[in-house]
Amino acid sequence: MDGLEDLKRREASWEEGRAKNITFIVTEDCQLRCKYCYLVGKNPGRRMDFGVARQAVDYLLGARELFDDPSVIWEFIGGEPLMEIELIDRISDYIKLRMYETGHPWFNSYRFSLSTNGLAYDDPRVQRFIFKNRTHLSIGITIDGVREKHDIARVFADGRGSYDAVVRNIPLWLRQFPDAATKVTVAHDDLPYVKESVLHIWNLGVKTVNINVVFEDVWQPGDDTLFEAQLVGLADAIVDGELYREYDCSFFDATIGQPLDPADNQNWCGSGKMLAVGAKGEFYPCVRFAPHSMGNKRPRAVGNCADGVNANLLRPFLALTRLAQSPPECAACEVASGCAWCQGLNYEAAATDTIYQRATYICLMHKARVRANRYYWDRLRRKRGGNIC
Amino acid sequence: MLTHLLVLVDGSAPSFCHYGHDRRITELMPLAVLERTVAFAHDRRLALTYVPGREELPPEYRAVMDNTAHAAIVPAGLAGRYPDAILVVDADGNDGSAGGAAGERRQFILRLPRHRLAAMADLVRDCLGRASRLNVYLGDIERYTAADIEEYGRQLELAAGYVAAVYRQGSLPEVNIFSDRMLLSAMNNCDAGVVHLTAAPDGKLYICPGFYYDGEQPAGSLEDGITLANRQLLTLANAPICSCCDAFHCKRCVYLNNKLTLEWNTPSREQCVLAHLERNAARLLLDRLGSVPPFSRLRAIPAVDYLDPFDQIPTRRLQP
Amino acid sequence: MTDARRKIGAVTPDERDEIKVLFERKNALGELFRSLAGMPDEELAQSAIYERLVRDMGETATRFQAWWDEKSARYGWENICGCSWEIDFASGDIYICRPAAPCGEKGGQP
Repeated sequence: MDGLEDLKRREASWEEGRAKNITFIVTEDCQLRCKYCYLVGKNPGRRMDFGVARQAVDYLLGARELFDDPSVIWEFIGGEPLMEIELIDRISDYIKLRMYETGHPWFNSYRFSLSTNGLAYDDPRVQRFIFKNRTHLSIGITIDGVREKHDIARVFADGRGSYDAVVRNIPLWLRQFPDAATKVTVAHDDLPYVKESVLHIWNLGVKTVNINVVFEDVWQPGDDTLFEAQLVGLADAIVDGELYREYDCSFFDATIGQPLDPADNQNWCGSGKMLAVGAKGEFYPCVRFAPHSMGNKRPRAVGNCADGVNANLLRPFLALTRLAQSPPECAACEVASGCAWCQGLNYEAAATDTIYQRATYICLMHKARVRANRYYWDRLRRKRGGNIC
Repeated sequence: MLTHLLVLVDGSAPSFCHYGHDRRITELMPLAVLERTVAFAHDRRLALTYVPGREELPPEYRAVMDNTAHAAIVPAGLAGRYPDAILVVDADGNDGSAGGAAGERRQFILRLPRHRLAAMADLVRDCLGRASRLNVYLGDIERYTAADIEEYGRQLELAAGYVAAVYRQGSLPEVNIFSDRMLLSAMNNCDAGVVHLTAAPDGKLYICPGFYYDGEQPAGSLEDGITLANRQLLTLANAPICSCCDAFHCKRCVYLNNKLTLEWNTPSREQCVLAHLERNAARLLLDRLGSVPPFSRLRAIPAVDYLDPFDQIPTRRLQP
Repeated sequence: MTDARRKIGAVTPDERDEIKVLFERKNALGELFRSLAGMPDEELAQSAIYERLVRDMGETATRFQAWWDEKSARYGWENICGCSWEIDFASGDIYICRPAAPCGEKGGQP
């Protein structure tokens, strides 16, 4: 008994650790120009041709010795994927047909997944797609919090905020996906709205908020203090209102903030273990290595759908360890657990063309989060009388 | 710690290692650059190794070079002009190399392009009688196929037979692909960029000659010294595959790493498999030499059931 | 029954895996069927796929129902008219559910 039986449990992702994630970058375009978005090269020109997708599907289903995972998640990403809903629909149909025709084991264990800005969620073509694939589909809509926060970053090309255009689709989304979660991004400008944003999203009916601070070099002196204050305020609201029974915010995690044993040497990021298919049929370790993600470095492909995966180019990704890429201060950090990194940003920010140089821009923000977590779990323990951690 | 500086006195000098290039026209390092290079090495107490080309160097070059203690790596055809140099054997037999005076044992490098792979064992045999040490380096590894790798295994087996015969006769020339692993109990690699750098004819410093020939970013210059970022990635400690490997003799060639995997610290599958074929050939040769001294005193090399240590890393699979 | 959902038993991991595959396959066949209707001819290599699919749907549904029949008999699960059984794929636990209860991905007996 830890006194926390009534805490909302964090759901494991579908077939966690058993599913191959294959992402189709169906377009590099988006209606929005979110200020924190790492897709710095959005453009209307590069969209996936169905023929490319078909070739990729045929290769991926044919290379069973390489892709022998028991399950698969076929993901569609952009830009904004729903701008290409007809293409997604056609690719999905083809995937289903080919998995069935070839007797592929994935036919008995697959999901489609996409994450959208939500603007086109009620489009009849999107709704038809949902109906056709409803038992195999997961859709996430990004709502960043209260209007003020959402509209600071998530803006149209002309600068207008997108809050109203997105929030109107939330009720429909939740009717269709009652357990849906949203992904919130926090950057410098919207720090003052973190607390009320999480509470607002819960109020909208989205019970799980997956939230993170951006990894990029945007943080300024004092941001960590402000961030901590926001999280402490949120912690008070959660504990006082006993919101922990029904709601979850990923900022609060009892496992973070511990020193890590050198033997605990796994890479944080999943790039390379997943595969992203670019608009022209290139394979990338994840979308973050595709051309529209790269500001100042060359894209880093690991093959293409004509020649297949280049195992040598993939090796550095699969061999990545925490310590091989971390500076000494991270290796010795007393609060290392839960400190994340993005391989794509690491590559982009590195002094050489390497994925083995960890960017540490979030260091102070992580430490602020750790302090707030200690406060939260301490308050919860006092209230619940349980033994947490 | 940096202790050595390799100087490409002539950019057309034939390759003495895994890298390749197609420069045939003499590309001399300007004399002033050579002088600055020598001064650079002197100031930092770096040992010098010169790499001249096939053409005889002008006397003023030799004067600068001979003014300081040094080693040299030269085409075998120039053995007479460089009495103490390491000799690079042209596997195509175009250098008319006698390889030094009769009865004199020299250090040889046999660089083997892919199209001469099938001649490897014979070439090794030919060198054994006149070598105090023989280093075999494979070229064109980036184009190796499964069939080439298989052929290399066959050639190693044949060459091991020749080496065993020589050793049994009491002659003990070192052969890098066999004896290095027998003698080592820890990694002993090329360490380009860590222990040595290369000064190129353009006056810049490179991790190794291969980086110069491939047009990669320099690691520094004679004026500014070493400016290379992320040097830690050249070390064994930051090489996850190599640091769990016991092919101790492997060059851990960062040039090939970079060319084939785009990372200095990550070897390609071909490199790992070739190094393990050598490791295993050394193991069998050691077994075969059994009670022959000094081999009887060497530690046995354990059998392993893999050829690529990458396969031993739990996260290697394409799974999340 | 007062609760919308009440645990009444459990199955072994192998039994759980068996019904999970059948459940997934049943859904996948149904959704492939929906897709075929609107698919261009060139993607349908041959119309025989329809016959195969329909036959497969029937066979899978039969095996699915047979699993519930066989396991419920073996374990003696409580049966209430108008209610259905559900399995939690994570734990292998079996529940009896009132029809009004919203059922997610639980592999319920129809």
